[in-house]
Amino acid sequence: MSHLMEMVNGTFSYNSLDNIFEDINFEVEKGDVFCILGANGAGKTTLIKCLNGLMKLSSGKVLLNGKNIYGLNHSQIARNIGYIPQIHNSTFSFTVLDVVLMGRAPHLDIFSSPSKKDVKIAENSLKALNIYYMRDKPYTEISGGEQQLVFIARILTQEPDILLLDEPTSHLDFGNQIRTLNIIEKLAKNGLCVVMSSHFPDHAFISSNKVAIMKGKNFIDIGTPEEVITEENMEKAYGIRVKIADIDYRRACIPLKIK
Amino acid sequence: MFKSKIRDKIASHEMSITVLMIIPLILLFFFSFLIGRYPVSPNEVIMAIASKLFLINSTLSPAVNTIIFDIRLPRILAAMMVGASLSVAGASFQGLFQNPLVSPDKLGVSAGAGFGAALAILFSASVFMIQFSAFVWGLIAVGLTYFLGRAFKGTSMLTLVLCGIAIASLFGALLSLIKYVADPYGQLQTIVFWLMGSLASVNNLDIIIMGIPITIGTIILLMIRWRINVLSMGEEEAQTLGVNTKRLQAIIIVCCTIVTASAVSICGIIGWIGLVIPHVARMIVGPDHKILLPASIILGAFFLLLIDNVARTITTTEIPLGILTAIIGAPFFLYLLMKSKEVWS
Repeated sequence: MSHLMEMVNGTFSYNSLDNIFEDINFEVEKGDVFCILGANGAGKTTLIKCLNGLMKLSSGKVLLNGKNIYGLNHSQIARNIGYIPQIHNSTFSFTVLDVVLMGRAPHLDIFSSPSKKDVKIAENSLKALNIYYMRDKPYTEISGGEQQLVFIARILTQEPDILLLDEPTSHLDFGNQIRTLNIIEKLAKNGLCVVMSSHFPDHAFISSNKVAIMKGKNFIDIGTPEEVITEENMEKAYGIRVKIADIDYRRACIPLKIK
Repeated sequence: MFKSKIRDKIASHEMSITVLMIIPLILLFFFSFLIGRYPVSPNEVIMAIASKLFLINSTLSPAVNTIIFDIRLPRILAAMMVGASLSVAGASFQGLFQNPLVSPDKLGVSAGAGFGAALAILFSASVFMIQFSAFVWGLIAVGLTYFLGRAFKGTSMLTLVLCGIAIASLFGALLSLIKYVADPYGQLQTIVFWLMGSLASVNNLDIIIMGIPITIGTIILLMIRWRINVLSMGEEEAQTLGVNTKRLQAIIIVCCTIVTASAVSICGIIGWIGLVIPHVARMIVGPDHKILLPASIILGAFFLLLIDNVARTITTTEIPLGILTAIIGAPFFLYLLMKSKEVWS
């Protein structure tokens, strides 16, 4: 049985002298939420971009259902893997529906526009996230949290098996961070696989079932959140001391003051 | 209020805005036949066109027929074609470069065409050769820009624009060189006048020859117009949405260049339209390229036809089009900016 997605001996470098990361191995399955932690500049974004072919591994492979993704074309990849970038620069004030409809692009050939059926799929994604009411608003005039929901709606419209989310919570307020994690968890329960990077170890406890810590070109640990997010590992990864504690019904990672 | 009502209607797909916009264009088209030194009555225009369309023997005098079909018709068609071409290319380029400040000559097509025309004028070539040289040098300039951009590992659109600026200034310098060596009492005047743009010498053959590439390029742009939406979200995002960005960019650049080069070779360099008409269209129909491109075509055709009507009637000697487009267009655009809340921030 092949895995849904797998990275085998993944190595990447920009200039073939100095590797950003090397020999990384992991696999994810349906229903997984895989969270990649690591300090700024550890290479999380690069790693995620290698998973859908935005960047090419210098050596090693990424397998999608056992098939090397570099042998697939853009729309084949996009039909299986959706992606939300860390930062989006908007130029034109498209309506929310127009933006969400763009998720249908991998299902349409170059000369087609979305049909009624595609509009229906896009509207259903909006309804699923309870943002149908902003359908005709310009997406440039809504809040950052709402914008994130619009991009999640777009990725759902794309109907992929895997979602790559590059720091999905980093520009959101306290409440929207947790709401986004909740959505991610629900999507995984419905059978999607989510690979995301994060700056918040605590978020891995909330939403993930698999965590890896990236540090010095490799994963220093990979496993369940409980195994990986330990006081020692956090100190290794971020150079600060943390306290891992069980609060109410969940485990939490709390940073301590630097003395 | 009224505008937002129209917007709602469009958003709910109840009404096709392009159909609405085409009505004034058709009216202006017929009206334009009436303008000019030789008076022609509306009846004569309708009769003449009907007789051509339905192959009825016309009872009109040969003089009226000649004026309608050999003088006014090519000029009207050329104005509409050029206006539409520059606008559709401008709208597509603004989407491609994700920048509303881009005009269709950003990659050097006008600079190349200007040089090509001046070169042909310097060698006292025929009118046809001047047009041909302008067209070919326009393509050469963009070709150079494109391959330079690629050679510098320029994956980004910014590299391409920077190469375009370099190539445009290079051809600008070569053009100055030609002006410098040209005969100041003949060739130089012709070059300067050509650069300011005019439709005075257009004939039916020009329309047919240049109409073919313009039509093909425009149709291809219209066919891929929804994908321009996706591309305008950024190259990387478009790629993750399954768009073959390199191929789509190349198609847009080739089509826009052919369309612009054809337009420029008929009538000289007319600035402003390719930059501003897409803005005006965006103010009316919104940024969705699916509606924006047809709207730009209609508005561009309308605007240049209007300007050309003014150019050929306001004074006894014709005013160059490039001057008028800016003199009429700039205040009009500023007025729209003031009226509209949707200023680019």
